[in-house]
Amino acid sequence: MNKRVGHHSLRQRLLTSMAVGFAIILVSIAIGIWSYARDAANHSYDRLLSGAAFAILERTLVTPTGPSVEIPYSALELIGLAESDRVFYRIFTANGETLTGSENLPLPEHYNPTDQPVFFDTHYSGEDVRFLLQGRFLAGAGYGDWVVVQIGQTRIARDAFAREMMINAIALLLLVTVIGLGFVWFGINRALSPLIGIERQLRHREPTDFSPIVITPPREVASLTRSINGLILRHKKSLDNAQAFIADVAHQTRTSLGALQGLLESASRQADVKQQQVRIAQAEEQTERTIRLTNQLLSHAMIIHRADNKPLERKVFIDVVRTVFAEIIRDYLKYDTDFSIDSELDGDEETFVMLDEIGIREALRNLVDNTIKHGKAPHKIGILVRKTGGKCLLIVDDNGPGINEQMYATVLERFSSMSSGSGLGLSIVSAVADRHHAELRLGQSPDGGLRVEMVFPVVEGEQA
Amino acid sequence: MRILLIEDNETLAETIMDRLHADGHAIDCEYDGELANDLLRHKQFDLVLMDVNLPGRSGFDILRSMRARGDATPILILTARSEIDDRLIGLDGGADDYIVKPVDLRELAARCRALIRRRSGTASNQFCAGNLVFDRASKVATIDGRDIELRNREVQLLEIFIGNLQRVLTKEDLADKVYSFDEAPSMNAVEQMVTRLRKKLAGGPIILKTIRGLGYIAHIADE
Repeated sequence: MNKRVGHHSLRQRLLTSMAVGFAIILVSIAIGIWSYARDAANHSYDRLLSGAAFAILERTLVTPTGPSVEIPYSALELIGLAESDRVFYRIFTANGETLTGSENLPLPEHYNPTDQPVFFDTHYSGEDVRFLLQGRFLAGAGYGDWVVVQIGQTRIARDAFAREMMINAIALLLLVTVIGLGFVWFGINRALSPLIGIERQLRHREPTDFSPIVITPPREVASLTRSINGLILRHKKSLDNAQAFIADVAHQTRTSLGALQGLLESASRQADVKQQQVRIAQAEEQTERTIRLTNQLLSHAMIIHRADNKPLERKVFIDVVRTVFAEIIRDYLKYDTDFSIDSELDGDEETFVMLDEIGIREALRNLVDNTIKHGKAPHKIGILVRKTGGKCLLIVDDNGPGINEQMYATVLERFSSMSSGSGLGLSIVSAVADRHHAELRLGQSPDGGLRVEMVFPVVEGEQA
Repeated sequence: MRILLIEDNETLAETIMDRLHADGHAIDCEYDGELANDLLRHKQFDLVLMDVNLPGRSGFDILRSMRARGDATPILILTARSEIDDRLIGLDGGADDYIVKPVDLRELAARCRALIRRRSGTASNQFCAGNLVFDRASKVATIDGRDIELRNREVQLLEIFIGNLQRVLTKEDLADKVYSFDEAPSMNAVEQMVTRLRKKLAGGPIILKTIRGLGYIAHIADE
């Protein structure tokens, strides 16, 4: 596992989601700050405009010739505080008569003179300009009319002010974000460190090392470690089994072939023809045993191999049992044997079981073989197929010598024959049952022989 | 009978040849698939025994080209695999039977006899096994020369069993072949018919074995 790319990285995922979260927060805060900064800039500069307007309005008087105004120097100085900004002004009466200032300054629509200040932004003279309109009702000497002061100031200073505020705030935010992501990174690393520890342990492990991973994991990772340790244990067991199997096979085959060789050698050295015949007959028997042993060993290996490689298929249970049984019977015609099938599932095309047909065949063949090998003619082998609840029962009864109840567990082990057999037959049946997740039970048949029951789970529905 | 054996393991080939010679068959042997295939184009055999994994040309290829030529010679496959390829054994143009190595020679000889017999009657109209002689033309079967007096249906039944030696036949199979559609026989009738035939065949080599719950299988007792 040298490559760590291509798959999801937890660290990357966490960091990405955190970064996206931070970015969203950053953007929404920035939007907030921008409007706040604009408001703040307007607020402060508007005060200057207000002050100036107030100062001017204070100097408006009613003279006999009409209203007159004298713009105080202080008012213009006040506005001039923003050095780079241009200033426009106009003082006019309610009927639009300009008393002084630029005549063509823009007015908002439907402006009615009022003593409340009215601010508005507009484009004027090629720049963004903020205007203030403020009126004063002049009365006296038979005169009564509104005089309005309009003062405008370009937005350069206030925009610069808002921008500066904005930039400072965002810089601070970015700093906080980076520090936050740093914490996240640190936290993720801390959290993942047990996983990395496990990875390191596994990576540097020798193939022969089956010891469990030693690490004190946090609660969240403990079950993962347990599972990995469980897997290691199972692998060890499986490898141990395989090694034991190979050792057993080697031993059994060599012994068997050795015996055969011995018999043939002895036969070839015999001067007496009768003795020679006896030896040859023994060699023949030994050959038959060797063949049977080899077949069973291969059958056992095949079942295990198929369990790893061939998926089970959804089949009509009774059909498979019939087909397989008919096939096996052909090979045992020369023995005096009464075969039978009793089925409560006849014509039942609905009962499906996940099966490996070859596996079922090997199991049945070995049971038949056992009966004929260990029992006395006339042999009797009866199959009983039954369905109870969600289970299918395959029961095989024979009239052989049967097995003592205390031996049930033992005979399912490999090479555990009670007499002259290879001791493989029932272990093959057991392997087949395992492969089908079927329960295997041994018992006594009505004829006093062995009863083997395999309980298969039934597959419901139409889907495989 | 003339048999062709196609097997590349010489020791095995020799022992098989010895055994079949002893049974009175004329047997030729080929070690190479390609050569065997050529031979089969020009010569007619009564039975072909062949391995699947062969040098030159695989047994499956030979089988296919024989069937493509319309050559219906019975074929018995010798295979080292217990897992048989469906393409090899099938009703449609496959082999007639197979036997798994290591081969029990007695079993092999029995299978060969069964296969030869399945077809033999069709050529000579006469089926012989041990003391039984069955003449398909005259529909007369004799054991030790004595007519066993078969009725029409029993003759049909016997033909079916002979044509399917060592194969399990269900009662339905038998009913389908012996009765017409409108007769709609009971399974009981089939059973009785088999029982009668079995009684008449007693003393002969043909054994009609009942497999309760499955059907019947006919085989010839070891001579």
